[in-house]
Amino acid sequence: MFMHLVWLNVKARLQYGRSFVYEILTSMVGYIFEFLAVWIIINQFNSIIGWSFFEILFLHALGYFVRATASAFLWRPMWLMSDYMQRGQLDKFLLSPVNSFMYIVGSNFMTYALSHVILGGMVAIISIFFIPIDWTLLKALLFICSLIGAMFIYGGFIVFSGAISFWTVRSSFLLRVLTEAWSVINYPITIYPRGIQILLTFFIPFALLNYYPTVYLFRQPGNSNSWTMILILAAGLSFFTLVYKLWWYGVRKYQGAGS
Amino acid sequence: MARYCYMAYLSFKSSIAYKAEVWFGIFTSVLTLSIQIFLWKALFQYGESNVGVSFDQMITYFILSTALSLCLINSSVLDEIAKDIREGTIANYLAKPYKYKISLLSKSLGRIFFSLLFVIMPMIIISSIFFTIQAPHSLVSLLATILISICSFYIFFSIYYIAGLSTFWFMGMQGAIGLLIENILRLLSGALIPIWIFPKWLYTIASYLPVRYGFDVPISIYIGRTAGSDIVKGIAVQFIWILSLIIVDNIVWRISIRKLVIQGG
Amino acid sequence: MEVIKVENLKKVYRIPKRREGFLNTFKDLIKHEYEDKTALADISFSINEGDIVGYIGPNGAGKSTTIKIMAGILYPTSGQVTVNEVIPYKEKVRNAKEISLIAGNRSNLYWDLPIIDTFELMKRIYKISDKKYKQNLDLLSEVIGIKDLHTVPARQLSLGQRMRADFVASMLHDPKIVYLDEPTIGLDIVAKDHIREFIKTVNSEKRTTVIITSHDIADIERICNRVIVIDYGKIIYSGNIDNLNSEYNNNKCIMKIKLEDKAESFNLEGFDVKQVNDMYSISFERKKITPSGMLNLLLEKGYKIIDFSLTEPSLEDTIKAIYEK
Repeated sequence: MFMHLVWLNVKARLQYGRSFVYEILTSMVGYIFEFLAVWIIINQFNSIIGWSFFEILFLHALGYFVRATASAFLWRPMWLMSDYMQRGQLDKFLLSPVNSFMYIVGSNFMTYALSHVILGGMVAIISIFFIPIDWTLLKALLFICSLIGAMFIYGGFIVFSGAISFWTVRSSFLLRVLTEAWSVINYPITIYPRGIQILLTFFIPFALLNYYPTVYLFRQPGNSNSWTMILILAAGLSFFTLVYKLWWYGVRKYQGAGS
Repeated sequence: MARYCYMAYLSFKSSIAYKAEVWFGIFTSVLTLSIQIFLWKALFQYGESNVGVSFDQMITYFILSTALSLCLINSSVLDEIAKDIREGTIANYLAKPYKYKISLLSKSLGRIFFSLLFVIMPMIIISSIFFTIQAPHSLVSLLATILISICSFYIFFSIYYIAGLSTFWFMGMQGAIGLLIENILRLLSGALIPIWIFPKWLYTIASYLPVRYGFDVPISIYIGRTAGSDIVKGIAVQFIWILSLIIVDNIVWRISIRKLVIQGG
Repeated sequence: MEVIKVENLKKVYRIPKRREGFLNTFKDLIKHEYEDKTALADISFSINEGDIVGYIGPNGAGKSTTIKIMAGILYPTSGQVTVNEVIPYKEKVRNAKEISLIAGNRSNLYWDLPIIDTFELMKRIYKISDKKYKQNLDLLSEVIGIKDLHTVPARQLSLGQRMRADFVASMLHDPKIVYLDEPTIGLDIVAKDHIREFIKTVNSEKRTTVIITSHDIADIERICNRVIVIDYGKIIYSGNIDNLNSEYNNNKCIMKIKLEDKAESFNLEGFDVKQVNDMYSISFERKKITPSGMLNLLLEKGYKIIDFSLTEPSLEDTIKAIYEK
């Protein structure tokens, strides 16, 4: 049922097929200029603290990819939480015999994010060709594990922003902050002082999204190894589960349970 | 005249309603600024490249650049013109292009003044806790910087103005146009990266564009990289640019209006 | 057979109090003080299978609160509710499969897509078998008249058509109980009739229990067999629709007559008579004398009536009186 819902959304969007191409082109503009800026800097300094052009590109693109995939599913439904509550439109979802969370999420798939998923993915793959990595099956598998974990971590933050709207108002503000704040990991976090690195690893673990997987992949020796990858997966799943429970707690409170 | 002052005031006032925007603006600008500074700190420490200025000067560069971006790189004018075209209200100004431009200017100024007070000031205060902004190279430099910055406002306004009118031909594409312009402005004006480290070919392009007077020129003067007769040269060329843009503005306006009349509004 | 049983249902909302004054606004930011608002004081009623119940009351009386609790999307403060032998807010999924909630001002349809897509979605959500789906889809579309509109996107339909599509979408899973919230709002007279007929048909064919909230009294009059009136969170009346008028002493009939001989003076002892142009308007209580009795009386007295009209006690007047109390 869930995938069917998602498919319905995509189908509805495809009706305006031309605009999808338009979206991709628009996103491309941003990418081109960002990479141009990176190129200019590397042209002058030969590398960014030892990271080559394509390595930085990969870091960027991986971040976009992870973020866009999580956002495609979760961003819009959480953004609409406050609206739904105010307009009493939440009832329809609470009434169905299916899992309300899945219903809301499935009904609000954001096809716009797909342009970033595609572009980010493409740039990442292209960059990989220019970076010497000795691939092993284990390495690839663990990398994918960490990607999944990363998506759940970012997704967890999105759902958290939505769940919060049961207590305070306006999930939209937190979501905007989230969207902006994450640009801190466009460059390797080693440019920041130790304190901030710790913050980005343990407390607002954005660095887990792209930095650590990347270091694991081709920047050894570094502070990331196979265990780190598994840790990211574990952290992602547990964090998301927690946030998911929080969301449901908010729903029950909204329904007046226990009052 | 009073009418336009009032317009600016209203613009100012309506910005107050959006408290979240203020917090968000402060947050984003401090964040972007910090990322830039940390990146360049690492660049300076790691690589051995002669950038021509010290790291402390770069800090000042970025703080000023962030502050100026908030004033100059803003697509509100573009959005407003696109809206007026879409809803047809632009027809009211058919005979009085002057008035339209000035009203847009006033509203813009209102917004900028608001940003200055509630976003830029806090941003500078917060940044100065962590980073030190240097004093201007000299009094003359400071005056020149202020003069050039204020005048560059018109340059950026003009660009957005023309872009806004271009939506006549590119209906529905205002988002993409705004984005494209924002990126070009940020890069080629020196807001993101000082243009003097651009590769030769890019530097040439940037040096022939008027947008460098928003960032590269005034900030270079402030930190002392440009001095003496170069300052005077800069002011003169900027002046020529402004005059040219006024002319181009009017031409674009006239072409647009003709299209509007032909279409039937 | 009882399908819905509500016993001593109570619902109290805790609303943050907004206090006046500068200092208090600041206090509010830190910690809210709450006040209790009682939406439902103590209500009890039961509904039988196959009933079509008009659940009415002024705005803010507690109607939607009751419906939401019965539908399982709101928890009560105290009291018992059983729907089809299930406690709705405790066994949400079981309850959801048997019910349907249709709101006149909110559509369940996907805006940009052909309505058939929404129907298919419902099929998946309610896990309707292929056979039953096809059966219901054809039957419902036929009865309600949207058979040819399946491939039309919702945004291209008129309001009436959309409402009808909504009905079909909500009934595909054969719900035993249907809650209708202002189902005919905004519709033209013909469309209203269609919807009302549809409801009656479904009710008679499938013994579906229907609970309607509507401010359109004609809705209630035409299709309901029972009425429950709620105000200030309390049930004021619960019973057959026929008895409602007499229950509230609204028995006033008005008969207007036109006499052959216009000059004739007209006098009726014991009854209130008004002259309006060339017609006489007689008010009388149904309890005292029935309309046919009145006619007989007039004929006995020898009046030659060439035209007459009769206005029965109106439900609207009764309801107005109830609301105003």
